[in-house]
Amino acid sequence: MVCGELRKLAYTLTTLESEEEKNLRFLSLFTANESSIHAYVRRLVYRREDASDVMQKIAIVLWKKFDQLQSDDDFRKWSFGVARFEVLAWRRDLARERERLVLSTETIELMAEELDRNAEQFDLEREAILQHCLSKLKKDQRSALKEMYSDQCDTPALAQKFGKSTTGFYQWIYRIRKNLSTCAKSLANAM
Amino acid sequence: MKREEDLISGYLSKNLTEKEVKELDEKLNGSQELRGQFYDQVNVVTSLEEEFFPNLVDEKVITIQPPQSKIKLLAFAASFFVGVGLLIYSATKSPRPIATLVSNENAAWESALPTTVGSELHPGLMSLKAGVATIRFLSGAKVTLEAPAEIELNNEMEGELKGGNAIIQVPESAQGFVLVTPSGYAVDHGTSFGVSISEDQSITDFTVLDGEISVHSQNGDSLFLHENESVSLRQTGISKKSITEAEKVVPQEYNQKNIIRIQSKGKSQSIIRSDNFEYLDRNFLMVKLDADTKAYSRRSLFNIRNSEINWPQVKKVKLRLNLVPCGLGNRVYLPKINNFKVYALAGFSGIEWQGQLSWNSIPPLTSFHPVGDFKIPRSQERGSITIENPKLLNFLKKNNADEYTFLIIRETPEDRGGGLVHAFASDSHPEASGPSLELYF
Repeated sequence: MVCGELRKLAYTLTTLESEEEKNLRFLSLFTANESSIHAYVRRLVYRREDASDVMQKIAIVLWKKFDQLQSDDDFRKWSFGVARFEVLAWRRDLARERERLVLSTETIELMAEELDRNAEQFDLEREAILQHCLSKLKKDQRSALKEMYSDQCDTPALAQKFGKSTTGFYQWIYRIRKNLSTCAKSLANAM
Repeated sequence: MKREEDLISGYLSKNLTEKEVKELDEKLNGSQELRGQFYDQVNVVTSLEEEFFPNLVDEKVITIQPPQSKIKLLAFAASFFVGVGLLIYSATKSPRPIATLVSNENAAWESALPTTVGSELHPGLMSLKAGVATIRFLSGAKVTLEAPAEIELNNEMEGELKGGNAIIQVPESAQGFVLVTPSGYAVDHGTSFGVSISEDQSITDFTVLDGEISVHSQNGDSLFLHENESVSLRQTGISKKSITEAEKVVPQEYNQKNIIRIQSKGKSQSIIRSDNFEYLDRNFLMVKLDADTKAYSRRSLFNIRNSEINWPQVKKVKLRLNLVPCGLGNRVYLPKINNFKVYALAGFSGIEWQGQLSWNSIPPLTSFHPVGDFKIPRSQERGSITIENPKLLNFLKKNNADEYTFLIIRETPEDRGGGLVHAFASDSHPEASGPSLELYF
């Protein structure tokens, strides 16, 4: 009887330990890939708030199905597959009134397929933007972007501050983003 | 501004009407080019938010805590997963991974970085407490550590060994890999070498197992090491280990009679796109890719001639260049790692080497063949660059010509105008030797 209890305890301890190791392994893999997965989701979903919701669902699914992952090396590819599925599920379940303001399921599917192939290139480009291209901006360009992408942004007021009409301001910002992207591409290709 | 750009811009600022969203959707669906533009814009937006948006961290799913509270976090994360509800994650900003942990042999680690085999590693410190482990940098350089050892991963071409023993293997793709130690640093030129740091961190021993490295002390001394050579590096300088100069065994490779070294014999020059020759110096072979007008872009050429060589009999060939500082331009305006490409042209090239060559007087790039590439970190000032690969060997053997003309270009553009001009010693450089080809029969 006592022996049986001890065995049970030993069994519980062993399981607990391996569970902890599994947690650690999951956290390591997930954190290493999280920003890539997030960027992938943003390209399909765009709105930051929506992307956050989808990311939470993705994290839960990845964790629940973590035992099915054959090799840690496949984590990235596997997580992109899960992300794609969750994005489409999110799109399907959108309420009617929101639905009209986002891209169609068909377009998102088409884009997901295209993005699967280019995710690494986009990661390199984001890295290039943060490491190099932002430092090449003119002072006024940088301060406009900083205000635009900080917490609370009142675009018409911002446009006025920079002496532009609201439309003109959006066009200006678009061109700056385009230049950043060109810079990122040339650096990423040289990497 | 085109209608399509207006639509994308409006979508990103959430200003489109239902009708406009539908229009954008149809246009995106029908044009791959437009989808490309859309991805690029979103990619820039996410980067900008990462840089400027203050609350981004709060939106992540899992938070990595400092190591001491890791267990607590895990317990929390686990409870969350069983259904309490989830607010896991808010991670530290993670830059691009620069290395992978490829093997653990009875290894015990202490690190904020992941330590399971296969993990992608970001810049950071790793401390190996027991066992042996191997890290492969993205450049291909492989570092095998023996515990106790501590290494800081800086970037894909640089690691900093803070203590312990390690063996570094560097394939061609990672030539120029820098290993920093407490007493100085070593630049690898395609090789494997061993490093051992004394317990008090005052002395670092380097032994070349295969190939060549250069070792640089903190006071500016540097020394080139070949196979089976060892040195000790102290903060005060470099000393040959245990054997004196006179007793030194000549490395076997250089003792053999079956090696021929050919130099460029006066036929080496730089060219500049603007043809403003006052920006050139005959002592240097200058190379630069100009960011702005391209007017200051420079390339270098040299010619190797020897009509007595039977090229098909050559077994191995090494093209050697000596990197030297020429004092022009700023390092900080370059990306951290710079790529260079070497091209070659077989036989008579029509180039008149006597006078100063103008940009357009040399054959176009398309008539040259690419025969190799190499990388130089922007921080590196000096060192020997060796190009050894099958492409170069086959090109020389196949053409079996009396002479070959080589062209060196930098592929990596500078971040802004005024970037460093890379220079290699020309034939007339007062200290370093000019370009040469070493042939092994």
